[in-house]
Amino acid sequence: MIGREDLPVLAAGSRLFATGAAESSFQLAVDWAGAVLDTPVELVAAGDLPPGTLCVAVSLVGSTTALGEQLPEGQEPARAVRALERRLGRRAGAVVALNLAAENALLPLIAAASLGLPLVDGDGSGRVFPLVEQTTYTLGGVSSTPLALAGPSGELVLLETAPDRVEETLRPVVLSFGGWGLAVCYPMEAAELARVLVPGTVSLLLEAGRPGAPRSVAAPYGVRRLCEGRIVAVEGSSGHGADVTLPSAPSSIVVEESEGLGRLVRLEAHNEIVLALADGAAVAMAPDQICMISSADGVVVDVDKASPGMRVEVLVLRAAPAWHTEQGSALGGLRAFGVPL
Amino acid sequence: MSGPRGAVGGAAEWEAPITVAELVNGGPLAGARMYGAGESPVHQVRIVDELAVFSSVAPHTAVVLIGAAASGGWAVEMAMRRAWEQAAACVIAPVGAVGAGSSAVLSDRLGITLVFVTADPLVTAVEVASAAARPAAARTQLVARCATRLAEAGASARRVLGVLNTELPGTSVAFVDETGTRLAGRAAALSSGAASGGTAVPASGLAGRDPAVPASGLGGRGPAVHPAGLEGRGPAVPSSGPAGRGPVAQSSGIVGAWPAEVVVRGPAGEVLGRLVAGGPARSAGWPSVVRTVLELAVAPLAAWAATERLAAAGDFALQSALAERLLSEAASGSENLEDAAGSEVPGSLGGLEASDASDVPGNLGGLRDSAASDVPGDLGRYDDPDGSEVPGDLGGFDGCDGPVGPDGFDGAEGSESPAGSKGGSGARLSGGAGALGAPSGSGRLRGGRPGRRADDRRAGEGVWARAVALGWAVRGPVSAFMVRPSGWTADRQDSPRAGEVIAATLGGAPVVRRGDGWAGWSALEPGELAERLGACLRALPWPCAAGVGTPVTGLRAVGESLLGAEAAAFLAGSGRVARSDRLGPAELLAAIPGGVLRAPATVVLRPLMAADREGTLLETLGAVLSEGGAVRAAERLGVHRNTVTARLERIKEVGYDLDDPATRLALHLAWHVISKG
Amino acid sequence: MILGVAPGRSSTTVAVVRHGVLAWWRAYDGALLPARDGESLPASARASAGSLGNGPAEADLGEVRAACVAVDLDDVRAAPVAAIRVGGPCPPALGPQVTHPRGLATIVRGGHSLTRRPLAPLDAAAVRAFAAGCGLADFAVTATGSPVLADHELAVAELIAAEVPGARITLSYEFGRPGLRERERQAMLNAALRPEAERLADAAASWLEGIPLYFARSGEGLVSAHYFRRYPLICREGATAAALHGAHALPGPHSGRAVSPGPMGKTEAAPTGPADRGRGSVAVSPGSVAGAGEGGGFPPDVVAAFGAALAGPLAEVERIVQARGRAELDRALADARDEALTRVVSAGAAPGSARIGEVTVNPLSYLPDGLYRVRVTAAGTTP
Repeated sequence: MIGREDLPVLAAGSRLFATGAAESSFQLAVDWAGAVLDTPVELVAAGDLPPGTLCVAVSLVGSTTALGEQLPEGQEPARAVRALERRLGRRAGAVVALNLAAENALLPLIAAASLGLPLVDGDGSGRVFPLVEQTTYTLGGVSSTPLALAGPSGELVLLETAPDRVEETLRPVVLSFGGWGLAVCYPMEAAELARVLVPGTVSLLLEAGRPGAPRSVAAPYGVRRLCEGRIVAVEGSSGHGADVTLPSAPSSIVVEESEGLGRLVRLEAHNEIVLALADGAAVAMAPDQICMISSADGVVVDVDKASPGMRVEVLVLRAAPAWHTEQGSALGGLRAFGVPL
Repeated sequence: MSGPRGAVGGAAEWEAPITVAELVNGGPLAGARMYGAGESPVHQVRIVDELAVFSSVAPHTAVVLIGAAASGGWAVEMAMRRAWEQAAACVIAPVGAVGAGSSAVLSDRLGITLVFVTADPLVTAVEVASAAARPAAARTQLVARCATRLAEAGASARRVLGVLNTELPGTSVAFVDETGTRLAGRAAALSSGAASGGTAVPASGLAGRDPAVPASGLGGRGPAVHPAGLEGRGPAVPSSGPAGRGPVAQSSGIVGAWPAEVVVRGPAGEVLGRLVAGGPARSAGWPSVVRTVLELAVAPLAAWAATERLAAAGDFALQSALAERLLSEAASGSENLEDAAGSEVPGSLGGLEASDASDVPGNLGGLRDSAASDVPGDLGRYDDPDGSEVPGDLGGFDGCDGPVGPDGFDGAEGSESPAGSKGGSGARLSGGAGALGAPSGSGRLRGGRPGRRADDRRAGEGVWARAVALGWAVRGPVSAFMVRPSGWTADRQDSPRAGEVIAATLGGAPVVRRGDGWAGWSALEPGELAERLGACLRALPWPCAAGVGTPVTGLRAVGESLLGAEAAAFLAGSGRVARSDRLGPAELLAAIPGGVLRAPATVVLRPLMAADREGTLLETLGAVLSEGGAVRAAERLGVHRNTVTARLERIKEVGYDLDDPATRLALHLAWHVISKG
Repeated sequence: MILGVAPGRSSTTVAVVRHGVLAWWRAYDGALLPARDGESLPASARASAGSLGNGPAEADLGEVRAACVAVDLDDVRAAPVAAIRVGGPCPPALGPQVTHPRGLATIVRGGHSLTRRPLAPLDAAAVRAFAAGCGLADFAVTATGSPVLADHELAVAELIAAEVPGARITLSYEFGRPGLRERERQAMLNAALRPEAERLADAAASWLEGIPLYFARSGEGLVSAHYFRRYPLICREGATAAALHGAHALPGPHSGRAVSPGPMGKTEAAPTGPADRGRGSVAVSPGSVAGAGEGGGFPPDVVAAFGAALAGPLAEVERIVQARGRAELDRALADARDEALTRVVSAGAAPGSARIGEVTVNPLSYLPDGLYRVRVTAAGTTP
């Protein structure tokens, strides 16, 4: 069971490796969850549900900045779930997360609480990917559609398309909503979910979020430290002083290792860090997750907040085994991020 | 002039594979920005559009990145890593593929030379391939270009050195005199210990700095590459990456003598000095190329010397003034020397040096400038803005953002232009395009604060260089000489003729009016000098006497030598040459009019002469006093020692106390006067 | 010469700073500081604060270029605020959070999305009704999307001004931050501080009559008194920040700067005014340079006053801009620069001294059509 008292712990756990979590939207999600958790939500293992239970995945789609600016009206989860139920002609019996990064760990909880459904212990990623179809559910052959998307001004869109067209179709819709929407997708039965799920990850967050727990608890498949050092250059995404270069989506963060070999570590980011080079040699890459932790306060450093002079620790989280298959790396590997390697 | 010269370097050297640095310094990559030393030879070129291709890249390949392989910092860095693993010669990437800063650091760490080109990489690839395939032809092109530029430069040491230092980028050339003192060009040429002679002007502060290798723009790390004599580098441990920041261990593979050096002779075949080229010898072929180019410069330099000499030869006043300047400046020390020279000698060589250092397009001219100017202490901070001439960093300097184009170069270097003729300072401060060197330009600082740097003598090089061109000794042991009329008084109109004869017989020497005669100095050994002066006296149309001073260590002390020469000339009889180091009582007494002492001498010796009818006693007295003892006196007189003793007894009997020093001196003097007759 | 002023509970510390060096300081009896929440300042204290007017001013009035006040506002009495949010409905937990017992809040239709699309027409009638009926004079207005487009906030301000003459209105877009709720909280806090900030500024202005008056920002820099009256929130931790800067510049373990070697305190340039009331009334005796520890052992108020006097006017602009391509972004940046320069002049910088400090541009993730967060700081010097 996850009650109001567990919320701070889950919130803390969800941020241990999460990037892209704007403070405003995250706090909003925490407050929202706090408001709807009048009765605790039941946390269940997928295998413990009746095999025929319809499970739906819940995820934020779009920009967290937009979420922080244009607040939810509160009925988004219910509207989206009901729409999907109408389309499928059956009631949903459980909610599951797409991934468990920051807001996305809390929105399924909010949906479960709003609808009085249990929350499945696990997620479809084991880490975070930016695209809706980048999940272990997809790897397991489950389609993300039909997908229902609810917007903050009462918008509701039901999307039915080939899975590889979902992202493309979704983006303009999300923009027309104002920048974000709540997606309910991957409808599947509990038995199937048990097969394609990265299990137990919600419990892990609840464990890792406790004060004093080591960060590595939140990394089910292991975490290693790539280096600790100082950011010496941020190329491509932001400028200081008079000479502002046009920001482009891909950017590069150069970290000078402050110990050992003093290597030059380049972190190539396409919204998130997808490749790490040490002295030009690839030492980590997607689908594994690479993140910078501020040495000053232990908080994950967003790519767009990185600036020269910051001291950071670069960590690499090993992705779930499903991601290290050929199919997995096609979906979540470097090439999926436009890096032709 | 258009082909390899067997006389200078073996054909094998000309055919030695061309190196990356050569490609950048004077070849198809001229103007490209290079990070790293570029010492690796280039055997072939490979165009790489994806990293997978690297597995088949052979060692010593110049890798040209295009397409995906040049699609950002990560791609270039991975390419550098792979290039390092494959022992490639260099990585050539389009400018803009990546921010230069961090890639420069990685280049430094891996020891892989990285070159950014602005031209179409495919075109670059073809040109590099052509140069790599026919290295001799590529080098010949450079030599030919140098020949053209030297011909344009004409007979001017300053411009010749300017051309050499411009056209041989990465190599520093200096013109030094026989003692190894730099007369023109860059101090950096001597900093590697290249000059075989001593260096009176120390290239201090340059040790360990390689001005030709650009420092990386990040982190204040110095150049990781050591100068000279390095080639190739073994890949470090691939699994862990290169450890440490220092230079990767190198093996020396340079063939041929380096630093290169050629002797420059004057019109009469005498040695004027040497051209010395130093800096990193970046390929086996480079020393040969450099030597060939230096040889090309010998003729203009000899012509320059001849022109200078011709101009000065007929003009005693000019020569004399120059000599006086040298004397007074040498005596009063370097600071005044610098000041006076800077204000009077047009376009002093120091200014040239700063300006031609700043004109190297795309190369870290500023850094080189600051290194070459060896500005000590507090001026060092001016180095920094230029030292970090990584693109983007120059934004702060208006009008400095970019390699200086040909216009800027000509403006700063062209000595005939009005700006240039004022020396480094004026040219740089006013010339916008040529202002790259300004922030660290030593010329500017020198102009603003003369006498600031105690060890800087380059501002005076105009005087010194011209003295050398005239064949004058300016360093090392010199002896002064003096020629004075005997029995007549020289006129002002006589000076040019005297000067001409003296200079001609001594083989090039400064002559100045001094007292009632003419003085000068020469590097000739005193004996030789005295002999030549003897010939001179015979050639002069008037009766004269000459004196030679004691040799002194340098021009600064020549005044002391001159005093001796004057004294000796004064003592020498007409038509004779006296050496101040050989002056004895005879010479001294010779100076005293004979009649004055004859009477007192006679008085002193009269008792002895009365008792000495045969004259043997007087002869014996003289021998004993001159030789300092009876034994040697006996030898000199060819008699037995006892005979001398017996004669001395007789002298004492006459009444002389030979144990009394005063008596001995009086007797000795009197003997000289009387015996000289 | 610049005065640093640190208003304390019962005394007011003045530091005289010449060329960045602490030349002299003194604590005056009497408080400039407004009352704490729930307490009223004794009339006597106010009176004596007023009579401080003969104090430091007389020392070298002609020389004083500026007086910089360092004050923490975290416990001054907060006013009840009328908060208006412009946007859609939301769960109550995400609505405006009214903290003052007499405070009020409402949500009216309107606002814009981050893509500048109007969410709904502004419900002007609702604004007017709320303004007319709330009975409060301090307003905080927060519209959805105002970092991108502030039209609705400005429109609401006009409506309020028409309904409530003399209303003090704080608009959230002035604080720039994306994140509606954070911005709203700031606007409300700022609105709540304004009455006391005005009182403090009035008291300081009358005491230091004729001297240009500045207040230390939280973080770094100064703003003019005029700016402070409108945006006291940015000076909320002014004393804390000034003390930090002052401690850094004073001799001590982290010393970077020397204190004037001459005698300190009353012996030299003691003002005549307070002396009339007797030296015994000086709350803290002027000290000597001796002493260890950060700030060189000076009383905290002296360190804060000194730190405030070292700073210069500073202002910042934070916006979300939409730009397709380099040219549009450049134009947006130029606008942000202009605005920052205007703002720093309005914050008290000499117009000629205003210059851009830092420009930061970040693309917003997952919003692929050219939305950037732009932050520009501008700094200047006091005239």
